[in-house]
Amino acid sequence: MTTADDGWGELAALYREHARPLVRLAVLLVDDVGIAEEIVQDAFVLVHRRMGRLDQVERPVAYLRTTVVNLSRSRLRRRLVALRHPGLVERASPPADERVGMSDDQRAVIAALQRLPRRQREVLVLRYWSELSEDEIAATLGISNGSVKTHAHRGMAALEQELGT
Amino acid sequence: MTVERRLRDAMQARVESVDAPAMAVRPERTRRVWPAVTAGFAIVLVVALVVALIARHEGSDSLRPASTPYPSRVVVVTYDGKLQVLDSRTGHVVRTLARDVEAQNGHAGVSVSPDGRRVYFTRTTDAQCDENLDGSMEPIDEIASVSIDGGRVRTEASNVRWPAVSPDGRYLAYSGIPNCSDAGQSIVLKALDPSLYDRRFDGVNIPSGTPGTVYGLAWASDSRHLLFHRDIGSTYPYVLDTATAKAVDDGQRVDIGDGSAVAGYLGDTGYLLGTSAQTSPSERGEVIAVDATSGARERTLFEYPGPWPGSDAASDGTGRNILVSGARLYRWSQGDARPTRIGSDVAAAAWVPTGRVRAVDAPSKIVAVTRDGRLIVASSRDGHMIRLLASDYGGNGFTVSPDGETVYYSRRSDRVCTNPVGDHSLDIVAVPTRGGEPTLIANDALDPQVSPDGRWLAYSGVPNCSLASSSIVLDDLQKPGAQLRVWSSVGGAASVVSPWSIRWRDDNRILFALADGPTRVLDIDQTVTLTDSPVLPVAEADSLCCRVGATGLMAGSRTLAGVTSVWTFDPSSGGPVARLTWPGQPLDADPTGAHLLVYFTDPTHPPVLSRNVVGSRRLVRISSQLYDARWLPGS
Repeated sequence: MTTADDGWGELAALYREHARPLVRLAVLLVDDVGIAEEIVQDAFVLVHRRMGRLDQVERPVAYLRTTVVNLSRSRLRRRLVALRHPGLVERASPPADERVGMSDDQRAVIAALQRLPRRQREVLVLRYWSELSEDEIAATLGISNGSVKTHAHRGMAALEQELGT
Repeated sequence: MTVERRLRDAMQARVESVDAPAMAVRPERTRRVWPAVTAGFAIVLVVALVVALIARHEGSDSLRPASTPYPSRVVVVTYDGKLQVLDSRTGHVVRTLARDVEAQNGHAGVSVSPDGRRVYFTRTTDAQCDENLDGSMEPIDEIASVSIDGGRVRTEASNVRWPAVSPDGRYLAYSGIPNCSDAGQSIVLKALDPSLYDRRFDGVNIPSGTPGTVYGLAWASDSRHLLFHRDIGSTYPYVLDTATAKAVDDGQRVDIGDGSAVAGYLGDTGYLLGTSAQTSPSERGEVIAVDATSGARERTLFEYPGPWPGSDAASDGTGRNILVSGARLYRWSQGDARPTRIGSDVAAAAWVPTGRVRAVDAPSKIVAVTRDGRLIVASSRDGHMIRLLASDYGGNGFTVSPDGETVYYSRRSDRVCTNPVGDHSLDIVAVPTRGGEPTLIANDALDPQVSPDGRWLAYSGVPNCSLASSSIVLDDLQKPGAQLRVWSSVGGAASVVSPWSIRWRDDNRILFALADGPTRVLDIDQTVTLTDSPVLPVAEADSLCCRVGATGLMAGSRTLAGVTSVWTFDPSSGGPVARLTWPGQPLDADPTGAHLLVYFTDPTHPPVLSRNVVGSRRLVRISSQLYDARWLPGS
């Protein structure tokens, strides 16, 4: 028999183990640690609301990852709106101190990554950071395997063109 | 430093701004493994280069059978959005048909009409819709077509993707995208034949599940069954029966299960064409044949070097020629030791059908049995005797080695069995096809069959002339004297091996029949332990003969309404596939599978040994004086 407490224990365990890796994933998608933490928090809140269904989710970590990617996408869109309307509260760029430890080249790479179209950026981050397989990326983003290949190829080609080899 | 490495380093540095304790969660394997993988990849590249140079020096092309002519043209969609016709031998661009050809969400298929005249592809339009979850505006895709010779591009349908022209050229199938949504998509058949109506399949016709794109449409060779993918992220396809417009449900999906992906059908072979999961740049990709019913990996067709991201594959109508697209474009034909790289940065590729059957040369000689029981080498044109091999052939089966050097046959010995009839026992002997003295191979045996790889000789063991206790025996031809008795009975005393029934499948597995009860053909792998239970497909065949065509199918005979005809059978499922028109018995196929020997037994004519180019309806007479024959390979 499943109880509410069972669900909480499961969620807590999920949080302990996966919250920080998910924050890192979100950082690479939205380029802001604070927003990334909010996104992951929101993702777990969403999961909590659906606790009754969590046990029906075959791979809760994959479910969380997809939620984080979707929420990151929404936050980026809100950031675009904020850029167009400066009076809004949404922060339009990450704090400068977040990149203190990075070299100039690493900053350039991250900047180039952020300039990629969102699908390409998501595919590259999921592949080279999260190290997901092609199938897992397709499942996370809700696109076909062929699209994963295309976005990956285009993304790497764009980075090579911008950064040089 | 490569961009990939720089990207990894930068991402690692970027996330270090996330608090330190959590960093321990990050597995160390990336830092340790990837340099090793990169180094390994470099080594693989160097080795591959050296091997390729050596192969080129040795003239590896000479290994390619002359009988596998691949179509001369390929159509590709490049990653930078060009629709081009390439020379399939060299990869040179013959013609650019269109530019700015790409779908919004990556490539979405290219298809060529069966006459090779028109190319169908997906492209993005200027129109936009705002239905994405994040509210962003995305262009609408459409399917367009253009003549293979170039010219005006014609829009076929809007808000659709994944064109697939049926092999009979009557329908253009594609996935419909209602209101730009990734959910609730349908499959549409647009009639290319003006006498037909358009058809649409959705709702009950397409299995329910996670909403997602309908993509990767591919027709079966029967122009009736249509393979497609659904449930984004999964690797299994579904099959839609367009004739009944129903019976497509979760139970019919083909579940591969090992991360491999299905790219379509392997021509008309009855198998699916798949690519294996490729998880790292150093891993070699595999193109595989997949059982269409079980989803089991049937065999690896060939491997190709990376890099990630992996690739899609496309077969021509025969299943004999395959393209692999992706960061590199490869061409491979049956018989090739390895694929040939002919291009790069190709999102989708398709062979351009030639629209005609290409003739290939049959072997010029056969080994045949005359009506008075002599074993001879004869002309495959008119049956004229070239050489006498043996006068003591007992009519109990013979076989020719794949290199064409040796004939194995059974003959009557001087030993008399103790059975009531007092038969003479049978021996198997080998004789060179160039002539010479026979060499004894085995006593108390009949119906020898050499394996396709030439290593094994299988035959029926019949001690003391007792057909009721027939067994399957394997001799290792590379280790004379090494004998492995494989099977003596199946399912108890009531089921024994039928003599004269042993045949080899193309993958070196053995098929054989039971001597009693309903005709059932069994399948056994000579490398498994002797007690393993064999698979039990019901072949519905009176007898099986040989692999036919490039299909992986086997020719056999089947009797319906009192008439025995030549059929093709699926050697995995055992099911009949098609009737090949003529009454009679199939005897042998040449090593390429392109030519069949048939003993024609139409009731209105005297029986006659004939030959057939697989794929054509015509039987060509060889001789009425010969009643059994095998091709002589290499002649």
